[in-house]
Amino acid sequence: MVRAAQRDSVRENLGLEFRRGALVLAVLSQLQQEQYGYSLKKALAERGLEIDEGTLYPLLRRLEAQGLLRSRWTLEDGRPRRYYRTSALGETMQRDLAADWQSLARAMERLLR
Amino acid sequence: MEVIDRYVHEIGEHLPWNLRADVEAELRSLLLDSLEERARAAQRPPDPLLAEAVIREFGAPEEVAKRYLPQDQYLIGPRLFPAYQVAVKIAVIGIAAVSGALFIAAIAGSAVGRREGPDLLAVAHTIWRVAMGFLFNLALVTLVFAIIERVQLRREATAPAWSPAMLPPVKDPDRISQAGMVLEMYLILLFAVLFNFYPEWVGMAIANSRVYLTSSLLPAFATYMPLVNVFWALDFALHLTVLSHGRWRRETRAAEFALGLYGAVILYLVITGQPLFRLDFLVKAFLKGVLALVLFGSGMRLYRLLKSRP
Repeated sequence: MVRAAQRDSVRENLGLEFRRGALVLAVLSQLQQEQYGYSLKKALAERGLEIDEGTLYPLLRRLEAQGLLRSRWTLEDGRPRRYYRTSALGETMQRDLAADWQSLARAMERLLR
Repeated sequence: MEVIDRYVHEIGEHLPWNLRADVEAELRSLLLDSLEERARAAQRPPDPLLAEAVIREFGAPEEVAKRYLPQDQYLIGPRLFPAYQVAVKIAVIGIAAVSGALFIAAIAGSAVGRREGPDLLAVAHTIWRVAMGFLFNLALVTLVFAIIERVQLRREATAPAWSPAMLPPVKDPDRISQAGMVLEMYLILLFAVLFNFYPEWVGMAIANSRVYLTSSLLPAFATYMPLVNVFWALDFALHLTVLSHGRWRRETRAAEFALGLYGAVILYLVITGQPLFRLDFLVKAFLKGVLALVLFGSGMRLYRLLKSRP
């Protein structure tokens, strides 16, 4: 029983580890057009990438602090919303990371064949 | 929705003030978006039950706040932590040995000539003193390591990219021992705190089952404290600078030499001045020995400086 629980925990951690790196690229790819937090979460989910709010929203702020995103507040139906989109640096980074991702995916494909 | 306001406020309480208002505003907006979506899916207007479900999905306030904080924030990081553990162990063993001796002395002293047994009040008094000393030392060790952690983070941020040309020679007189530097910084802080805030501890004595704190320093010593404090502050700053460089450099060696001379001047003034200590003659005889050592050390430093002239 303990072993099964341990195995599940290790499995979860390993999965989270490689997912974490991919999330940045996923977010950058979807913010070529301006979006606010909730609409971005939905856009990612619609494309098969579920990400919980507690992870996504702090990530947006971190990427903004790194200069990869920029944001602005707008008032919609009396409610303030913060919109994000990639900065010039973020776009360059997204292209570079996408190339890395594709190269890695090809290599992994060969390794797992 | 009141529960959302309470939730957002609670998260804000765990955030630094410069982030708080902005994160709170954004979270409130995001939570209301989620709530609306959930209400639409449930085909009913938003209510506290739906709001609670949204909040539960977001997670506990401390957990959410933690994700908004800059990462890798710690007092003592993983690289220094093993050294910190060793330092704490040494401090614990050292203090435990001294405490044990004091404790035994207090019990033995109180039992001598008494039929009714040890003076419990005196023993409790000693335990209290020792416990305070224990905490005080642990705090000092932690403070020194926390300072080194900050200095090293700054050094790494500005360090040039590593290359094999930067490898020091095998016999490198300018290499520093981090543990030695830590010990010296700890001692500087210890002396500075003791002499400035607890001068009565300079000269602890045990007699008649009590730990007596009768200062060895006479009131006249206070006139020298500004000079001594400047020395300690400069010495501490020098240690920090050397740590931030990662090794001794010519300029820090020169500063060390100058500081040695300044220390020698203070010692000379203390030795030749008015009586400053109980048992003044004995203490000053000891200080004369220290002065000789300081002058010898300064001479050696000057020799090394001149020898290494570029």
